[in-house]
Amino acid sequence: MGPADRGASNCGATSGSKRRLVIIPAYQEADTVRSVVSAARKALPGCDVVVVDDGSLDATASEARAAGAIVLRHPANLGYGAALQTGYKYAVRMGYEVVAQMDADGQHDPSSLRPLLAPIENAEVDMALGSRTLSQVRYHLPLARRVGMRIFSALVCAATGMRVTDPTSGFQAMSAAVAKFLATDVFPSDYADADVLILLKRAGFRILEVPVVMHPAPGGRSMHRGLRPLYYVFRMLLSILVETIRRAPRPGGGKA
Amino acid sequence: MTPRQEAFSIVVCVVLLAVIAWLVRQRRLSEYHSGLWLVFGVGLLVMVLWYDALQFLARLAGAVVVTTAVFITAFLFLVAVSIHTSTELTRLHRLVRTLAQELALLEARLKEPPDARPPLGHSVEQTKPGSEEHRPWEGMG
Repeated sequence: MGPADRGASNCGATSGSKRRLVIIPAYQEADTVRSVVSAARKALPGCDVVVVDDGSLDATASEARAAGAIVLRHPANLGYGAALQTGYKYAVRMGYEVVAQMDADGQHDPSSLRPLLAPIENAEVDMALGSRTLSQVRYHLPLARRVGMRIFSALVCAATGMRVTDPTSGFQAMSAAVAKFLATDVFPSDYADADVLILLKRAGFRILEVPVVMHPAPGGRSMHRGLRPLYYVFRMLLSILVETIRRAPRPGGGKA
Repeated sequence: MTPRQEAFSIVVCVVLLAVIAWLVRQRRLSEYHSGLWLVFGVGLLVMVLWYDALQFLARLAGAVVVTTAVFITAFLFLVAVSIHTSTELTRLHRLVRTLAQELALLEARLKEPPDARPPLGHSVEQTKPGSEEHRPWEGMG
């Protein structure tokens, strides 16, 4: 599908249905990004898919384009959070009404996009968080990962009083207002998960957890491996601490 | 302080100030960022030449030997300079990120067919007449 068709599908989506955007941050994901983009477009007919290529050296961008995605390329590797935020900025400027985000490694099952977007489109909540522990499927997660999830759940609960089962989930959906809020400088763009939940909750957004289907990352190439989890936990604790000592942010305060 | 200590300290301060001046002259250090270093050099020089101030500082810090006051002053200045560097780094980090993101967004816009682009000057949020942001009557009178 060429860029011309994409423009046409943009116009088509305005008839009745809300304009939806799926943001897929990708770094060196040439093997999987194509199938992920195709599956997402199939799962949500009429949606646009934007792949934020975070300075990959492989064929991530061309693979994504071949599958019909709009591609935004960072000139250098800026990190997962920054890639997500580029997607939010794109969503805001192009006027999308609902935004979903998922990983490019095939971990997040596109069939869950619909249940994630539903509460946003019905305006029940502002942000939907995909949880693997809420769903029927049993997941065999490494012990370290489960411990980490528990710790972050407890922290998010302590900071906001909100109960979440899967606070590190990157499979989410949000309203345009949330995307606009996260497109400003308030976004903690190093690692964006539990700290973003706290940020959003403190800003007064409504958050709902939705059961989703997740697969083990193909080839086990998750970022939670080796010594990385320890460093990650440290950085996330720091980020959460900083988030809680800052003044509560107001949506609409900054500029996108 | 012994004359030797004094002479050594003065030489260090003068060399430091000279290096800063040279870097600024070469435009390898901006006036803005040289500020703290100049304060550092001059402050240290003052401490060395003005013995009473040094003694006062030593008593304030509870130091037994006056030279310790010189070290404390130097140490605190270095801490200040490196905190300042960290805040600058944060600012630059944010700036680079924003620029890279803008570049990615602009590039994507250039590749779009012209008719799919929103009109120029398209703003994120149009202020509607009557909304809170739009008060043309304010400040008119």
